[in-house]
Amino acid sequence: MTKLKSVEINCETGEVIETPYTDAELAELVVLEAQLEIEAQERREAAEAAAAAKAAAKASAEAKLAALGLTAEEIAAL
Amino acid sequence: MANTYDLIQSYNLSSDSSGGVTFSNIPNVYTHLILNCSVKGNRLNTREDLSITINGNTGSYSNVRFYGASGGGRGSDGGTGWNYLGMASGATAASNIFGNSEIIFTNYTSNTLKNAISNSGVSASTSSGDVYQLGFGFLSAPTNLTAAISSININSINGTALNTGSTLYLYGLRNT
Repeated sequence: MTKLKSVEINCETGEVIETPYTDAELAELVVLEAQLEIEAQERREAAEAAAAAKAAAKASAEAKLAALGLTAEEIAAL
Repeated sequence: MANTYDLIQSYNLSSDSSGGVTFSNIPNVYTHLILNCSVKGNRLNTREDLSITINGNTGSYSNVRFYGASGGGRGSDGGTGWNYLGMASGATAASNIFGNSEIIFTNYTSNTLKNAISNSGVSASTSSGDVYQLGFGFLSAPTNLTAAISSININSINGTALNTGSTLYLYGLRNT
């Protein structure tokens, strides 16, 4: 499918100017979009890993507090 | 209440456009403009935000938005430097789902500060259930934009293109 750089509708004349990418530009765009998707995936994975690490740290801390004799209510109040 | 509600131009995207869609040479014979859009962007989300650029001015816009979603998320955001207004569906919404926005540009020929208000919404079926999202927004143009609005560009802001099948209608309202 053709991919357009831009579309302009001239409201006075009704003329529509559709500016397509050249084949070379389109090839560059495919590479760029693939790179952006990889970066987005890396950010998602990093965020998930950070969230998992945070949850593990919280669980570890709660286990230690429980071992010291604190109740779940007391831990939640901390 | 306006006596005249004219369709100025409409457009149906037959290909994805990374530069969005621009209405240019907008006639200055109306009192207000209304842009009705049914649009989809390629952001990896059920919803996408739309950017508005007036007269090609990429200066500092300001906005405020109020929004809610069926999952319980609701709130507001906005600030200086943001030109978001309106809503599209995103890439994870079904292919036949488009976000709907009505954006009103009031007194667009006056030499005062330009602004626009919008109401918008999108509903999307996802693997984890249906999602309904609704938003209202206000956009203030850069303070140096005092000429009549002669062009409006609308585009996907988080993704890289407005998608095929998006339709846009620009109307003019006047009192005579």
